[in-house]
Formats: sequence, C-alpha cells, structure tokens
Amino acid sequence: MIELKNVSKTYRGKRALKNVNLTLPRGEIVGLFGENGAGKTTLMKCILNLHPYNGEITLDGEPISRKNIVKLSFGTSEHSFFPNLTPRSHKEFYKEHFDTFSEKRFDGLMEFFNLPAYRAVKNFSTGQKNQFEVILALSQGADYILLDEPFAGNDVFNREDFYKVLLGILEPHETVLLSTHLIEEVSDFIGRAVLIRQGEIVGDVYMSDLEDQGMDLMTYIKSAYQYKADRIIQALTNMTDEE
Amino acid sequence: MTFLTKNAPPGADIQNQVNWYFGGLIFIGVWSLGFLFRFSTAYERLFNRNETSRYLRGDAMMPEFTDLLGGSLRAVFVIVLALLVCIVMNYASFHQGSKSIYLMKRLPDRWELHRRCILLPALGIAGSLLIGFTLLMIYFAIYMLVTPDRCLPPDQWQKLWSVLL
Repeated sequence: MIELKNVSKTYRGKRALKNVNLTLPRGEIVGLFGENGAGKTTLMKCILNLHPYNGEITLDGEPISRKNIVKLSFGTSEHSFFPNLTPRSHKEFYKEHFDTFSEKRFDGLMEFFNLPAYRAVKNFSTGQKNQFEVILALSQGADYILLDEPFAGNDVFNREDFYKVLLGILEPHETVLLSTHLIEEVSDFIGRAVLIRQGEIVGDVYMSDLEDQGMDLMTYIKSAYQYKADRIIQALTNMTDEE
Repeated sequence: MTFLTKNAPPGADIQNQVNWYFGGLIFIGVWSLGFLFRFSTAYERLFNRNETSRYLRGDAMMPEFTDLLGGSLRAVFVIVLALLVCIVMNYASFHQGSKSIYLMKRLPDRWELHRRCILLPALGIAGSLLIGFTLLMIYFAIYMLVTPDRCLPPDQWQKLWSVLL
C-alpha cells in the first residue's frame, strides 16, 4: 500500500500540494483527476521521490528509498525513455536493472501495438512514443504503476485498445494510479476516482459507490469541483455586453 | 565497446566521443613538440662554430627547464577542461529529447546515473594527466641527459617539482 500523510509541497513559492492524505492499496485501478496545474503530476513525483516534500509517504509501510523503489514504475507524457535507444536496447537495459522485468509482457505489448523493435524511439510518432512509455512502465514488474497523462496525443482507437489490454494483463496485486483528463473514457476502466484541486484532495470515491448512488463520474467530478454550469453564458454576456 | 556503452549515457554516440578524445591526445603530443623545438634551438646556442667543427662556448648556460617547457603541456589542461564539460553534458543529456532522468533517478543502483556521467570523462582526465606527466618526464630526461653538465643551471629537480606541484 502507498500511504501519503499530510504531504505538502511548495513549488516556486506556490503551494502545489496541501496536506494530502491518500492511501492506494494493492490491486486497485485509481483515476487521478484535476485541472491543469491541480497537482496531479507533483503528487506522482513526490511519491517517486523526484521532488522533495513535507509530510510522509510510505510504500508497504517503509519510506520510499532505493531499496524499495523498484516496486514503483512511472510512465509520463514527458517520456522517460532514452530517445536514441531502440526498444530492443531498452529491453536489455530494463532486464539489467529490474529483476522483476517481464520480458513476456514487453514482447507481447510490443507486438500488440506493432512497434518496431530496432528503430530508435526518437523516430517514433508521438502516439508510438506514448505507447512505448506505457509498455515500459507496465513491463518493469512494479507493484505500483504510476501513469501521468500517458495517452496525450494518442487517437481514441489506440486508447480504447490500450484500456482493454491493460485490464486483461494486470495481475491482482498490481495497482495503477492513472492521471488523465479523459474522464468519461476511463470511467468504465477505473475502480476508484481521486479528485485533486489546487493541491488538495477534494474527492475520493469508489466507482461502485457512485453506481449505487446512480451517479456518473462526470456528474460527481463537477459537483466536487463546484463546477458552475452557467459560467460560459456569463462570460459571453460580459464580453459581448449583452443585457 | 561494451565497457564504454555500459558506462556512458544510454544512446550516446560513444564512438564519436572516443574519436574526439584520441584526437585530443594527439593534439597534446603535437602541441608539446614546441618544447623540443625550443630545446634544440637553445642547445645550438651553447656552441660556437668554425668552418669544420663546433665547440662549447665558455660561458654557455642552458635556459631553465621550466622556461623551455613554457606552455608545451597546456593542451593537457584544455583536454581536461573539455572532459569536465563532458561530465556536465552527460548529465544534461538525461534532460534532452525526454526526461530519462526520471528513470535514472529511480534505478535500484543509486550510482548508475553518476557512473554513466562521470566515469569515462574521469578516466579520460586521468589518461590525459598521465600522458602529460609522461611527456614531462621524457622532456626532462632529454633536458638532463642531452645538456652538457657544465651548462646545466642548478636546482633543476627542485624546479621540476615546482612545475608538478
């Protein structure tokens, strides 16, 4: 379980995270939603120890360090692969550094997405780069897979295929924390939704609970975000000076 | 090649860097030849000549070794400086084209990132300094062995240490 207790982060004078408390048990697929700049990426980077922070983050009861960080993998729209290496060379690199690396999963996903194994990743299309980034995150053999906007730039068919494959290949002990703007698209795929706004967790709900309440995810998010439906009409009225 | 690729940033054009490095070593060697030119000129000035032979001048004195050495080994420091820049560029490479620094920072081996940035340039620096030192010793040996004893200025060993330290 990943556990965050009172995690705060100040970034260039701005409070990026404010006393975040969150637990991510094993085996869950969690959607992390929020507007741009809400703190989704910062939250993930704090978990990964890429940013210093105040508060406490533990992984299966232990502070996150080099000893246990292999339990975490990360796929990001910024991409964390080596652009000059081929997928084949990445495979060798991952095998060398991660004992849990799943060659079978890597090869299977490479074949599924029809990615060339011997072409430098820098020559891939944006969609292919995203796919490859996620393939690496899924193949590392981590228990907790953090995906930050992994599908930015992919077409809808690609994304749908990916959700299906992901649901099919995940082991019961694997946890996915998925940050995305594609709320409706992932609503059937996630088991839990966490909402973050201006660095604070403003919503945390299981999809089964929403179903019981007869509410869809988008409605829940809008209510948690205090979305003002009339703000567009108001803005247009102000701009056009209409009565 | 495996040693080099395993100790350089993944995907770096290591062969190109190695070529540059050996080019740098040749540059060090060629640049240092300035000492031999200055030494041979100074050596010739120790002698007077007549039509058939040459003979040592009575007041002949070889210039100090350090004066003849001048900036002959300055190329070593140019190469060392370039290799220090290489270390910075190696770190920067993990931010170029992607953020592979995220992967490097979460590898179980905490030294992997630093090793891939520092080791090869550090070996290059050590190699350059060793070559510089070897050339210094060779040139000093030439100076001491070729210069006639009575033309040698005093305290050359001490002055050599001052160059080294």
